[in-house]
Amino acid sequence: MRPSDNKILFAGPVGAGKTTAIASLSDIPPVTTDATASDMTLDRKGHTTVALDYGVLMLDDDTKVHLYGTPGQERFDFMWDILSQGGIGLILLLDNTRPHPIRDLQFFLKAFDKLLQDAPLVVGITKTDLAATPTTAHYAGILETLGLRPPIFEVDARNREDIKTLVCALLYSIDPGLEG
Amino acid sequence: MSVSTPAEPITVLTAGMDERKLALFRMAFRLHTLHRYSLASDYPGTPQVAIVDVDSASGWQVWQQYRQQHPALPALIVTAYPSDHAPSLQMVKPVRMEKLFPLLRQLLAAPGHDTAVAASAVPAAVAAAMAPPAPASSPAPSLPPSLPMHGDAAAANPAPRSGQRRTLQRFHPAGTIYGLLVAAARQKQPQQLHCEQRLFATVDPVQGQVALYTTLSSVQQLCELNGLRLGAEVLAAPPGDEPTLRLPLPTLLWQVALWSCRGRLLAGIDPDTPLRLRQWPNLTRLAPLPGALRIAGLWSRTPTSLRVAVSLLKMEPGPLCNFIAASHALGLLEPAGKANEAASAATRPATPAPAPLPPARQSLLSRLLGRIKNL
Repeated sequence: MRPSDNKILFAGPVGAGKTTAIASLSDIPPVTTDATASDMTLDRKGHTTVALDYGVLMLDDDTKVHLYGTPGQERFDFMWDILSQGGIGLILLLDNTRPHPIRDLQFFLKAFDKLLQDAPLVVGITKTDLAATPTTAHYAGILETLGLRPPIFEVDARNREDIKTLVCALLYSIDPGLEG
Repeated sequence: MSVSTPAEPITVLTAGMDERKLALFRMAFRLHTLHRYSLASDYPGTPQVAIVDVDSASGWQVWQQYRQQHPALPALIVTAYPSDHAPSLQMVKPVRMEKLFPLLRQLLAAPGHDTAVAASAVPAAVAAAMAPPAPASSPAPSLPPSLPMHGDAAAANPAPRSGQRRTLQRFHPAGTIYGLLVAAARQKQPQQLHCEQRLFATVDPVQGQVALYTTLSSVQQLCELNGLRLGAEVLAAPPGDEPTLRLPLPTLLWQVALWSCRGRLLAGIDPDTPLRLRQWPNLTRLAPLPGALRIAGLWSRTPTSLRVAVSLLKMEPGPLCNFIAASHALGLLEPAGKANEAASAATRPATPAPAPLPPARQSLLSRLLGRIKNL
């Protein structure tokens, strides 16, 4: 495995919490390419990630795990395949207050279909305190029809423990026997 | 000895009990409606009967001390390890209300049964039988010895000694709060639940909400009791009283499962039956269970029996049994039968059994896991 292959991808629509999640794990101040929101994101955030977020977890002096937050806007879809190469897994954050979160789920599953053939998926549902539905069971039902049974957790992207749980679930999805 | 009238509590002395055990009996007494019982520590009356727990660290010395101090007071011995030579009436744990109160009444009506009035010393046969406590000799399933524990389950569950065989205790939901709530959760209409003829909760299984009419600490204590008088009926109208607490039904089901199961294997589950999770529990919003992420990781991808899971995860069976009861309560666990295999075949090919990772990859992921846990 090339060193650059040690990466975890965070994907999801604008405002789902990708930037915050990466910041809660990264050993360095996350590199975030924010800009004024374009028309498609204007209603949700004043600023949004237009290219990507980047953070890193140092395992030792020579080993890093890169954390990439992929942009939520479709016009950057050319980047998703590049970032996906060799990824450990995908953490998909979905904002439950958006108009059609199930459509968001389907959109990102399709976008990362190639990665998900070999790498695990974990779904974090944010803002469930503001919008209780769809429930985790609803999402699970959609995923079940695709033959997927990933971990689906309600999370608060500002809560580091929640984000840690997502990453641990990702790793145990690969190997439940892992010792940490 | 005469039995007190309902207006006067029957004062019960206790020995060998910590606060948790006292709370259990206090709860049982509160729920009993035929006679009023009260712990001697709560009511300044003259004790009429005693309950002596001989399973504490002091063992049968508790009985000896009690008998020396109260040579004539009839006493009920409670123990998980009954003896044929016990010096008084015994009740085998777990404490079951339908047994406790008849035994107390028996002692109150015929205190002469206490054979230890003139014999304060513990019979040799009893002492021999009680130290150290012997495991229950029920036909409960046993599991082979496992390797030493590791990972997040290790902190809560020490590893068994090499060569030690473990006997699984069974958890029977009938007559328990767990059984009551799980049954209500499976209904299609809102339910009103009663415990010992008192309103306990209303459950809306469709909305996934529950309104409790008692405190959570009381629920926890009730979870330690079997043989409760329970009832459920369709909720025709909201109860007049305000509930003590409203909370999501899955949250309560999961917590009640952990409080009730306590490492025992749910009745009806065979240790050799492959199990599979239909969906991961929402573990960020449920009570912590050691090893839950690992267990869910295994059972969501590969149908595995309890026996195999113990070996694969190198875990004690207790957390696995707790996980089984909790995920069953949420309706997430299914036996991996042929019907389910057919359903899986209609979708994406079933996830293959986990293949060993290359050592370098495993090392990286293990280090990453350790790093994340220590953040």
